[in-house]
Amino acid sequence: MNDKRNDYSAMRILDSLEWDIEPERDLWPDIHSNIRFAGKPQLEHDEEVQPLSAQPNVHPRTRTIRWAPISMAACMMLALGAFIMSTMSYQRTQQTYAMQESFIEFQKSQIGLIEQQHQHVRAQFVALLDGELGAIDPTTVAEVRAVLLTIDEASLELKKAILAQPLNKNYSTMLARTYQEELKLLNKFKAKNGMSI
Amino acid sequence: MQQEESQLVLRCKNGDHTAFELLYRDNVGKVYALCLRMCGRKDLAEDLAQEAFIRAWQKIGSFRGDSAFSSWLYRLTSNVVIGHMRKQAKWQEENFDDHAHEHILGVQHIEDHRSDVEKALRGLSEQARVVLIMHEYLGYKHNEISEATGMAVGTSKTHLHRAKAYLAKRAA
Repeated sequence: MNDKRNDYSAMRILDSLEWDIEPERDLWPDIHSNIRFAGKPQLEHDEEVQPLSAQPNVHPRTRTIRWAPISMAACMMLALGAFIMSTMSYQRTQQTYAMQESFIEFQKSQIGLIEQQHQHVRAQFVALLDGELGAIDPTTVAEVRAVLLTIDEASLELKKAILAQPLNKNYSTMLARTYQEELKLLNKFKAKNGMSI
Repeated sequence: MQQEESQLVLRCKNGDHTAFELLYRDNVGKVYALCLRMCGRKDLAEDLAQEAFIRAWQKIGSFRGDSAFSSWLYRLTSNVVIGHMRKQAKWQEENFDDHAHEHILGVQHIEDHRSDVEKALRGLSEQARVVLIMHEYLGYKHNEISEATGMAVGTSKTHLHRAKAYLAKRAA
């Protein structure tokens, strides 16, 4: 009895509502702009209107924006940018390595030249010193030999440092200066003691 | 009229926008009203009605003419509205609180003497209101409501029973 009364009330309420209401704005322009680009409707006769749970539901005001192609294009742009940046960085690194290699080679060749010259002068000096043993005070000769030994040890340490840090210009400069100072010293000594080459 | 409608549908299937506009003019009031009753907001109802017509254009190829075009269109419209509601967080379980849905049913659109009816329906949850409209107005069966809304058949029946009892109580 109650159910019948409830049914009646519900029907009465729904019947009293208006079921044909014009919207405040004309929807046709927006609908037309949407369907204009869609072409003909799909003619798939086996396709019935399905419950919306199986259909995509996109809000009408956002449906015209094609996000997928935009996001794909953005991703591709990002990937391309990253590729270009990493390639440039790699090339810069390669250039730096190449410059460092050439610097090390140049430095080796310079030191080699100075060493050749140094060894030549040193050999001449030692030969002269051996030849003048009787004319020069033995204590002085012993001191000169000790100085030369100290210079050799210092040069050896500098060479080790250059091998460990080939890009450090200070070591190679110090080595070159050491050789130059040694040559000056040897020349002064020869002049003072009347030695001739 | 029925013959004229089927001619318009045929022209739509061939891509005739003018024919579709005529179908739109004939049905927009009913489609909009259905959206408004189901969702309860004028702005949203306009968007959903618009979406329903766009969907109708896309799907008109599947309309075989077994039923009236308006019936097919209502069914499609209710699917659009339900689909939208199911995506919303407020697609709630039962709520029979009188103050739960103050904005329901587009009151500004309704004449004053209908305001009691509007108030009576305001207390229903979205699910109960949708079940009531689909069952009593659109003639859906509970298994069809279940299929469209994703709720169990028993839940649909319970919503309908409670909605009717609630409205009867308010009408008394």
